[in-house]
Amino acid sequence: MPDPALELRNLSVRFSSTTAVDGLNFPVAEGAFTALVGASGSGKSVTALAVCRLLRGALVHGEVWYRGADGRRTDLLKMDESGLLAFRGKEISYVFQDPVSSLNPVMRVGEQILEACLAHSALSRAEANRRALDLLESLRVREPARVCRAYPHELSGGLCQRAMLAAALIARPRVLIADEPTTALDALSGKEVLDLLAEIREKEGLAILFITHDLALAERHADFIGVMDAGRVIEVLEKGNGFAANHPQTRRLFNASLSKAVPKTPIEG
Amino acid sequence: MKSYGWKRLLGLVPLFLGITILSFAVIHLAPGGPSDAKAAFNPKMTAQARDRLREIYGLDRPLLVQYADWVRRLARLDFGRSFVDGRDVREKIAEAIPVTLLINALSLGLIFLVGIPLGVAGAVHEGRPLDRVITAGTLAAFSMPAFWLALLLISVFGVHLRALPVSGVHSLAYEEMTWAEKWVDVARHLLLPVLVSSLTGLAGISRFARGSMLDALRQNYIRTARAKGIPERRVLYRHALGNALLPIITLMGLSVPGLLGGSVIFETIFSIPGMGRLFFNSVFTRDYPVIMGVLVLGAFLTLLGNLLADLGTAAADPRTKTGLLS
Repeated sequence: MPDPALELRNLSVRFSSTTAVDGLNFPVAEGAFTALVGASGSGKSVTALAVCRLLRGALVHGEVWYRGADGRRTDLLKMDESGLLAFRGKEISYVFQDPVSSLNPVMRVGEQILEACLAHSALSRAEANRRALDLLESLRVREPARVCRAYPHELSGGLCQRAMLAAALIARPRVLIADEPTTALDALSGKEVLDLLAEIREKEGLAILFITHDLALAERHADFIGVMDAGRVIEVLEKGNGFAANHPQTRRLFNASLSKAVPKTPIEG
Repeated sequence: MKSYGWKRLLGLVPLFLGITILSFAVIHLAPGGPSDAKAAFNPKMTAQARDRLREIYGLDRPLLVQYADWVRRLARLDFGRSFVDGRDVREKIAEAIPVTLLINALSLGLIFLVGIPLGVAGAVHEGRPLDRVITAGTLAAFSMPAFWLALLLISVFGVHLRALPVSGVHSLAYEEMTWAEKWVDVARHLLLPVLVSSLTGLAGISRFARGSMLDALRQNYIRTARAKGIPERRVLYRHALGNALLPIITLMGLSVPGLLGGSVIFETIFSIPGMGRLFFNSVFTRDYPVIMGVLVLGAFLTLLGNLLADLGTAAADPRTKTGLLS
């Protein structure tokens, strides 16, 4: 396994009465496609949000080590507010589950894509705009200028998710955390977004942490798969050895996977 | 957008007529009439004289005829003449409007300019001391009987401290003042009425704004904005406030009719000759033309305010715009 760009150590997240994450250890390898898989309520989304301290009203303990491009390591959980602000969107960025509600309904999509770029780089508005259009084009958006002028409700879910991707990628982060980015989309646009993620990783060399409940979906592109259950990573599967699973809960997840149950060959007739 | 506005405007006509029919019917159903107010306490008034009065006012004709007549005159913007002093209703209303409008405009301004920031500040500091102080303050203001507060303030600032005048709109020497002095004089007279009449509304708006802002802050797009690492200021005031203000626009539109509705209680306490007292007196004397004049004005403003609220929201919320165009 290459050096981890992000390493979660003994991470615990508690809400007033429940423990969502309970002593989790998990590395996210530099430049690799890592998936975090688990049933609903296993704590995977909470883990993802805890990395950049995006949880409200939660007690987070443990360490989240981030290794920068210069090799310096910082514990994100000990960082001060202003340091964290400079960090979010610039080093680590996010794509969320429901693209339509994750975009501000009263702001033009283009403006929302530019935000991170304007906050984290010295680029002028015009330059940032250029970059946004290029980025959308590389995400196979057919009319980037029209998408930028539109409001979220005027776009399809798939287009909104690509806009979210563009907003997350525009400041050229080193880690992208995608929290169930395909769950709210139909199967086809979901697959397209997933393939785009893999393609971006190849091209930009950034590390991707892909959160999903669908093991078969994760298998498609992942180099490593962390399997979560009850707030811990119970097993890490590697592409190198064919994602061989030992833990019974992992096997249960495999067997329950819906995408696996669908016949892969076209139906005759 | 344009055609939507026209359609809405046309739709208001039957609504407006409906309101006038109801008002007309209710007032005429109320026991007593304008002739009674003049006749009942006058021992010299004979039955014939009373019938004569009813004839002059046109009250002897069927209600439907009276209404049709009234509408015909209204179409020419003629509100008729007061039964009490024979003066043109428009004239009487025009006399009462300026002071009421001034007080209400000032207090509405105060309500929105102070109430919204207070509520937003509370939401931003949710659960922290500032929020608690604001919540306690607005709750106290909201539950305090305004007339009681008015009397208290008059007693403190007017009677004990002798710092502010307590009645009327200007001093006796008003006519001899320079314009700067006139301004100061009116401002001193209006300070207490405006304060008292805005207090309840201010507290209400601030609670509403707080809730609306909290609602916006819980949305997914706020998490997205935070994940981008943009300054918290921008998250709060561009992302959250932009959404939180939408329902407040509706509220602003709905408060338009309140601009001309005077409060009988405040106007009596502070001796202000405004719309509230005009209406109150006209109801007491069954002065139908004046009553209907004030009601029509109120109905018109209510409908106008609703329309403005809808158009304002439609203009501010991109989601309604596509619906309008298509």
